[in-house]
Amino acid sequence: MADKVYDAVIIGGGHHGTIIAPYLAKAGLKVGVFERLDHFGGGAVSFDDVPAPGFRGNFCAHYTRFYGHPAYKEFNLRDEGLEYVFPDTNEAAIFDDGKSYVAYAGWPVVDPETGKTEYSEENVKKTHAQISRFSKADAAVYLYWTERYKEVIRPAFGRHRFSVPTPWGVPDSLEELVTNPESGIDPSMQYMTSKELVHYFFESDELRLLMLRGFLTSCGLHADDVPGIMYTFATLHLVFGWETAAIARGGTQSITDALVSAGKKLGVEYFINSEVDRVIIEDGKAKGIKLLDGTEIEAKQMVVSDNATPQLFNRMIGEEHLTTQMERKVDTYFFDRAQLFWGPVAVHELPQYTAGKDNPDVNATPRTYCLPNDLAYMEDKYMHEIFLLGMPSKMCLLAAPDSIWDKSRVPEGKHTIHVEDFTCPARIFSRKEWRNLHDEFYESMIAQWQKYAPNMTKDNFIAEAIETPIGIQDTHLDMREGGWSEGNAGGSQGGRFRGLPGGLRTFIKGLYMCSSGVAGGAGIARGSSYNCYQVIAQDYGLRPPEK
Amino acid sequence: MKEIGIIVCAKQIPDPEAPLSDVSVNAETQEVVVDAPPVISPFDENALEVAIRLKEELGAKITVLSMGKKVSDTVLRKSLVAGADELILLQDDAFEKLDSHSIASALAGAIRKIGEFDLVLTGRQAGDWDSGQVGLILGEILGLPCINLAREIKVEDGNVVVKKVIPEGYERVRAKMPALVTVSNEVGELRYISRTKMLKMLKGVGSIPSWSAEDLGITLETLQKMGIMTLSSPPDMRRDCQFIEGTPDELSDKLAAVFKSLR
Amino acid sequence: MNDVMILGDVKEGSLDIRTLELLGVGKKLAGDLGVGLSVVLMGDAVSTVAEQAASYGPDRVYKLEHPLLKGVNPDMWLASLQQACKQINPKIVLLSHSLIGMELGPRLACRLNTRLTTDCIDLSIDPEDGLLLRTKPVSGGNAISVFKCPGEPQLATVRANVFDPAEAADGNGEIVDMVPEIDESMITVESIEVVKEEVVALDKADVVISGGAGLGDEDGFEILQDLSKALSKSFGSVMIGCSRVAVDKGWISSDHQVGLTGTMISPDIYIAVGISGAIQHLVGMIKSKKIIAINTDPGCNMFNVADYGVVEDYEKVVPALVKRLEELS
Repeated sequence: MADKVYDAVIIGGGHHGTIIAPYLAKAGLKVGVFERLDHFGGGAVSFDDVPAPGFRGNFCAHYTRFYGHPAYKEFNLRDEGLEYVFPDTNEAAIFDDGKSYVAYAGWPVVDPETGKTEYSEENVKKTHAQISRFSKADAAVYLYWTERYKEVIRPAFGRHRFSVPTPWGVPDSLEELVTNPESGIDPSMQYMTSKELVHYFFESDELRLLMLRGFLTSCGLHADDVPGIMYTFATLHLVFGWETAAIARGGTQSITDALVSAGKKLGVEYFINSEVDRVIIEDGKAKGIKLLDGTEIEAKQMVVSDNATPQLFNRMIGEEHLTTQMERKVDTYFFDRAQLFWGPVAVHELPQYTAGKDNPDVNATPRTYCLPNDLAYMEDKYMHEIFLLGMPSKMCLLAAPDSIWDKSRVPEGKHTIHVEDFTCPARIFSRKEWRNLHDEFYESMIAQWQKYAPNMTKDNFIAEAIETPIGIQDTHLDMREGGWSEGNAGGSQGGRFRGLPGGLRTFIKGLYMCSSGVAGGAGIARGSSYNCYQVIAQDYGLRPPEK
Repeated sequence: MKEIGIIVCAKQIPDPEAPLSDVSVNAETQEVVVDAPPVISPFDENALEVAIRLKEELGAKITVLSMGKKVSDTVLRKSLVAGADELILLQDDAFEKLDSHSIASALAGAIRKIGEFDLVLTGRQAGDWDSGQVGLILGEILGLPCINLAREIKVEDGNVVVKKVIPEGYERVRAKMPALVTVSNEVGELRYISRTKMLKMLKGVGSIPSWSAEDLGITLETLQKMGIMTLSSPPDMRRDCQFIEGTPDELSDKLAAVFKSLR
Repeated sequence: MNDVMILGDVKEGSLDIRTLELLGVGKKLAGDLGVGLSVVLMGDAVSTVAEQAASYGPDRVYKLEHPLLKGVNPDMWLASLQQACKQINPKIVLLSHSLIGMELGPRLACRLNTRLTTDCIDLSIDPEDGLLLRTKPVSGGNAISVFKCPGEPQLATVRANVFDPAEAADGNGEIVDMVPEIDESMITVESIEVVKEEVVALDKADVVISGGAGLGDEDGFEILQDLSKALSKSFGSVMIGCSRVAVDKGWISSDHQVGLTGTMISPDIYIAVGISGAIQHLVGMIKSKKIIAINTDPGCNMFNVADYGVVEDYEKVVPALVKRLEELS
């Protein structure tokens, strides 16, 4: 006899668990969400008094565009407290030789209430002028692809993010791009490495560097990795700043709070400190879950897992249920990318970049990268150094001064800046070495930052809460090796190929996956849970979600 | 005074700080499987630190010996960057799961092959089998004065002077070198090696010598395995943790209540 | 002779409790083998303790008295023990896994060309060949291994607090004098001085408050000290413990260290502050009656073994708690 009964039981109250819960509840189901940790939200969390009293720090995700998720409208999340601010600048880069670059949003948000965007000729001109300073040809490339993006690629991406993967053999909207001459895409791009792609698109070292850097940030794809079409354009969109930057007021926690609040109104029941031990399977059908403390929860209709493949299939279902083919897929799900030194620092004053003298907007851009103007280094040595030593000798440092736009997260007059550089999988170093690496990263980050912004002396720092992969791995069981993307995300582990064959609808009847470990991929506001709901709605004859 | 020769025996073991969830026992292969990177055994790192301090103070040549079936030179190279002068790996398939006496015999063979030395330093025990024997047996085999559990080591006039841990405090003892000392963690942890230093030094490191049982003149019949009959998981230590939540003030109220209930 | 032989430890003029534990397990093994039990006692004057030992009913108590055996000079003790083994020719030799046992054991094994297993938590006889089955935690406590080794005598050091101490017996054992052949020329390590330090007896505490790497610096122990003061009003003996990392960092002396290579304790309440819970620490405190863990990392090992958990910065909780306790007292 089960201790509790629901129509739908959700394993894990991570980002996607909190998204799908209100959808299922709105369809009339009784929904229970069971979370292992003592808080919900997965990657969309912020903590008070981090990194210092009076500050509020994002622990995982930082750049979010949840205003573009259909759930934003469907559940009136703005009324639930999720507000976005939209800076006009998008991404900046400062090179160690003093050159700099600012990208202005090609599609700024014109209506913060709905998140409606509109093409901005003016911003495109500004970005074009910035690129022209490096190369006329690259500036022409910008205009060419902006046009293709506007006409063909952007709509395809929009369709792709929130639609269920097509059966293999039926091209999805991105695969259609490859065969559509209007898209401008050379089919061989699908198989190019990052390095090949940056040479394909650009002639200047600076733009090539920006794109290499974008591959890293989008998904931790290194120079010799194959990004595939989806990440190629996700990266170009960062380089060109096509889509607007957006900052969730109050931190990314606001997304989770709004979703949970909406869910509660619809009757969803949420439980923390409730680690799931097993999925109960009878006659090939998911019947419920068993918690680690022995409690049994019955699922009258379905179990939805917000876990990625390794946890769900190896731990909660058991390898004995997998075919050899599936086992191979589980075993080849790699976790070698997207590891970061990452977290907020609290400062007295914002960095005043030397490059700000002739390009003032570098001082007020949501993402500013300080990096060496050394393409050979970034292509050939950067990754090797971080795998060998844990950190690069020349940093590619991100500084994201959110508090310029969101003062709710800092005490009066102070600022919080998110910092980031890449590192290697957790397994490469021992715990003691990671502690040392953390301290050394902080020290050398300050030293290198000062070269770009002389006021970033040690005295300017109040506190830091920089996390390393080992800390992430310990707290997030699906983030093996401490990467932020639940496993590699490019090529064979990206797009429709992510997770086990079947993806959203697993091979066990009544068991679904909604996590970022299936098609849709890592990152806040991606489509996996929305698409999972579409599949469930189809299977159970529930109302379809709003577009 | 001539430069002293210090030999440090350093074992490579799986990271002893690995969380319980990363550790499993394979009863069939009789192995503790640790899903964590290999490190230098922490007490051996303590020993290396002592050697480097002596080198800084008096000048010394430090040779690090590391023995195993397969030793990763990338792990042990750290010792060179920290300040050791030479790293010698003792690797052989026959070196798997040996008993302490056999390990000590092989190390003794290597030390004899090296020839001149004044001080042999080992950690008090290795973090994998926790046996705490190899150092002292090595001293016996080499016929050296042995000092166990040093918390401070000095060299004065050809003698090693050690503060040795005893139950009521410490004992200052002295032995003529060459001598063997096992090192406890009170000496302090191995100095921090910055990545830039690591990078610089790695460029300068040539090939690392690796000696087999044959190179050491060891006949395989003399090597004995450690004689494991069974290997099993320890009894479950888990308790049902009741998490106390709230603001610091609320927490202190609730904790005070817990203490009251335990009184 | 085929006795089970144990080496006695003398503490403050009488037999150490560890020796009684050795007597306990030694008696059992001797019974299983159908052989005698011998106790070896060494020192400059051990007549009184020899009589004390005899009252626990071993078959024989060997008394090795010599002026050079005063204190513990390992060279002298080792030579004497080696001689005793030659003469007694025991089948099994047990030492306690004390600092002395840790030092003598391996060296004795080498000199007698036999194999030692250290820190055993269980011992039994393999009925097939009469060899000693030696159970020992390995990998810091992550696994338990049973070893069987060739060689005579069968040699083991024994962990404290795992075997029941022997109880006084009816018959007295025979006391045998044995003269060690030792002289000063055999001393290779010379003692300069013994310095007594104030050492905390963690195993006597009712409450232990331990700090680890999570304290951030040595000042953290002052905050723990405040808590210790506040708690000592309601609980008997409250002491400060620590993890190995704290000693390595030089924040606190090693007599405070809890764990495999520190002190093994079982207080009524154990409070772990900023200690992640490495296995070698856990084995030292897991027998505590109640465990309270304070750590900022909700995923750390310590919470798995704790009864109460607080996920918060100790610098916020502990001072508030101290204040609250003072208000209540």
